[in-house]
Amino acid sequence: MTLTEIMQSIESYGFSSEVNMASGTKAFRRILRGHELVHRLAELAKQASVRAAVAQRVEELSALQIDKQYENRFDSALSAYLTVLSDTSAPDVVAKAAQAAAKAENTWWTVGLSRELVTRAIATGWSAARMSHAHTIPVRLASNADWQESIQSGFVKWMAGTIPVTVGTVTGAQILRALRTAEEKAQVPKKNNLIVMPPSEEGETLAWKPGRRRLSRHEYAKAAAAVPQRTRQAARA
Amino acid sequence: MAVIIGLGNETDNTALALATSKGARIPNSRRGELAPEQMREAVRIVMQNHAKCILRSMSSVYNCFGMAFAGRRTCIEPEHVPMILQEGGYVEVAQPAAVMTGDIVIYEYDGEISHVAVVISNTPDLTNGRSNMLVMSQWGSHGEYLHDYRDVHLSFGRPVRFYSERRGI
Repeated sequence: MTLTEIMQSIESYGFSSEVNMASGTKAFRRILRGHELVHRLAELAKQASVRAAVAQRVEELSALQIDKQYENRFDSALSAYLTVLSDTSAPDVVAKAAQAAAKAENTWWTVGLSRELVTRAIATGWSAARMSHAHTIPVRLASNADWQESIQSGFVKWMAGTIPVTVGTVTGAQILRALRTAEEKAQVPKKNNLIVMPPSEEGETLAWKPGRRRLSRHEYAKAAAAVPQRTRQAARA
Repeated sequence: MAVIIGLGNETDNTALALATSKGARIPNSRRGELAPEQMREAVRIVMQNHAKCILRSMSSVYNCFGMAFAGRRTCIEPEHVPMILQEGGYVEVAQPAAVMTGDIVIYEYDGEISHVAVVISNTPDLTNGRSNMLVMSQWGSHGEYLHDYRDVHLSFGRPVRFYSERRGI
């Protein structure tokens, strides 16, 4: 089979019907990975040109207009392509494709897979793909809300793209670090959603507020002073 | 397998507020309907390989666990089933002959829960001493079928246990 034939088959109702027999996510991925067409595509994807074609196709399918009454008919195909790319391609290619796929409407399997791949890309520092369009930290993170819940909520909203652009130049990795630090130290002022990180391993101090540029040393000192005394004592402890 | 942060919990706007009889929250997520032509193709493939199955309904909003435990409204991942059985007051029915209408059959694939069906009838097969059990289950996103409890798609594995929520048994 040629690459075109394989991709046409993967985008057919027949392929979708076979892999959609799964009762859950794990079964779906098992069926997908065991499917002959996915094996054949993975074999061809050892060539860089094929990987590029698959990544390109992910972007095309993700941008297609669909009938919003129904599930995206390319859901299974997108998942198959992401699976092959995640097994064969460089992390930045995977991250870019996953981010494109995350924007595809009304997907069921692809939304979870793309979220995982994007999250993995951020967590491992592969955040070269543009991801500033929806980054922010939930306001609840700055209050005394449950940290774990806030972070989960923030990620869900971030991934779902329901929050407007406010971040500026802050990268996903910085956000993740800030979230982890906030969770570990609870060193966050109450008034707004300003994130104040303690000195990093490199001795750098970072203060960041969604929608604003990185703060100067003076601004940081002012912001840090606004942190309630007991919070700072708790953080030092 | 990686955990998808927040999927199916109370922050997921596709989830229903669903709980066991003891009040434990059941993570879930509602799926969209397949387009009619896609559903027809799916049903054709099922019927082609399982000719004795009887199609009951064509919806992809729920999966088999959503059919059995959530009134056909949403999808539930199989890893939540042990909690649902425990918190929902289900008890295992050890003998197939003791299984009654309304009880459920749990299937496993490679040691993991993969499918569930609701029992419609259970009669003895006098020729071999086994059970003739007619069940009803949702097959992936491909609709709901009436079928023999052993006649299922390969990915569902095989029937391993029976449970009932009947009280006083």
